[in-house]
Amino acid sequence: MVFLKKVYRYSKPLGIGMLFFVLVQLFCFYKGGMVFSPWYNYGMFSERIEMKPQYPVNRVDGLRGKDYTPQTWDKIHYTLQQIQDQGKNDSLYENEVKRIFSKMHLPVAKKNKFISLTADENAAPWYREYILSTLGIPDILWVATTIDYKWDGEKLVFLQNSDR
Amino acid sequence: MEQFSAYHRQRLTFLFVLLFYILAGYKWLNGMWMYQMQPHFFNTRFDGTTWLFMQTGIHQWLIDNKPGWILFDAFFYSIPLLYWLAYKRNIKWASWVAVLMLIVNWVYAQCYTLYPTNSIEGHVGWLLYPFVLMTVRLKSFYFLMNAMRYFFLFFFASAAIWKFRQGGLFNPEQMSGILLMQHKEYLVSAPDYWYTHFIYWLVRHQVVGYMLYLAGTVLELAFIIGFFTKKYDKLLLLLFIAFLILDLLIMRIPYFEILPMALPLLFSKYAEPAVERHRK
Repeated sequence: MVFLKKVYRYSKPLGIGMLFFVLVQLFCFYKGGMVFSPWYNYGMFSERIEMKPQYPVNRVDGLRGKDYTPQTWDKIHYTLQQIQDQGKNDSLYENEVKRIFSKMHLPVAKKNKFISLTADENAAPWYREYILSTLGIPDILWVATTIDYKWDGEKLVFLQNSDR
Repeated sequence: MEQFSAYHRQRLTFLFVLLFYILAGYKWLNGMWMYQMQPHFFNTRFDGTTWLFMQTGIHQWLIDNKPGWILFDAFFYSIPLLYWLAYKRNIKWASWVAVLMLIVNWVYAQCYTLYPTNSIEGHVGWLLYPFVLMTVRLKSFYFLMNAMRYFFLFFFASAAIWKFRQGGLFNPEQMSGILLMQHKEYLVSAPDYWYTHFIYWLVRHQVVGYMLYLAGTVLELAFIIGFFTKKYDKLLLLLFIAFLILDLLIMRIPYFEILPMALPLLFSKYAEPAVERHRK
C-alpha cells in the first residue's frame, strides 16, 4: 500500500493503473475459477492429487523417455494428450463460452473459433508425420496406443489395452 | 543508499534482452519456435481474454500455415533486438518499439500457448515487461520495475497459498500422486533406467516425497518476506534458481520462461531516483 501511495503521488494514471491491476489479480485469486489474461492463478500442483490404482498410459511405439529431452518428450506426449482432450473443447464451448457470452450480452461466439479438430477427424496421420519430422527418425511402421497400467506398490505394471 | 540511475536502467534492459536471446537459442535448440512446433490444432482454455482474442481467428489462420509461423517467429524474436538498438539511439523511439513489442508478444503468446506447447502462465513475463520498457521517464521505469518485483513475489507466494486452499498440502500422498501422473509415460517406457528407479523410489517413500512438496511450499511461501523488506532479495533469487533446477530435475519441467521476471531482484537495492534524468 505504501508503494502504491508513492506511485499515486508521483503519477495518478500510473498509480490508478497499478491499483487496477492489483484489484483484478486479487479478484481472480479470490474467485479461483475463470481467469482473464494477464491475470492468472499460479497453483503449481496445488489441487489434491491422490495415487490411483490404475493409470491409462500412452505408448508411442518403442520410444523411450530416457532418449529425449523433456521438451522433445513433451512434444511426443503432450501433443498426443491434447489430441485426446479435443472433446473438452466442445463441452467448454457448450457449457461455458455460450453461457458467459450471453451473460455479458455479447453475440454468441461461433463454435468453429473454439474447436479445431472435429470428432470424426482422424489426427493420427498428422501426428505420425509430426513425430517423424520432429524426431528425425526414419519412416518406420509404428503406432500410438493407450494402455492401462496398475500401481502395484513398487512400480507400474501392464494391465491391458485401454478402450480410450 | 545509491540511487537508481540511467546506468542501472540500461543494465536491466541489457540483461532482459540478453536473457531473451539466451532463451530464444535454448528454445530453438529444443525445437520450440512456432515454425518448429508446426501447429495443426488448438485447445481452448478457461480464459475470458483469450475467448475474446479467439474471435479474431488469428489462431485459426496459423493452423498448418508455414509462412505464418515464420512471420510470427520473425516478429517475436526480432523485437527485443530492435528495442535495444532504438534504446541506444533515442529512448522515445524505444518507447514506441516497446508498444509494438506489447502487441506482438500478446498476439504471439496467445496463439502459441493455444497449441500443444506450454502454458500461458509461463509467458506472463513477456506479456508484462513491455509496460516497463515503454516508459521514457526514469522514475516511471523505477516504479514499474518495482511493480514487476512485487508481481514476481506474488507469483510464488500465491502458489504456496493455493496449496493450503486446495488441500494439496494436507495430502500425505500428494507428491507420489504428482510423480506418477507427471512421469507415467516416461516410467513405463524406460523401466530399467536410473531416473525411473529414482522416481519410483520417491513414489514408494511417501514421507520423503511429501517432505519435498512441503519444502517447495515453504520455498514459495518465503517470497512473502519480499513484501516487507528488500534485504533478502539476493537470497530469494537463489531460491528461485534452486526452484528452476529442482523443477527440471524432479518434474522434468523446464520453467525458464519466467527467468526475466526475477531481474528486478538484482536492482531492488537502489533507492528511488530523485531527479528525472534520461538520455535524449
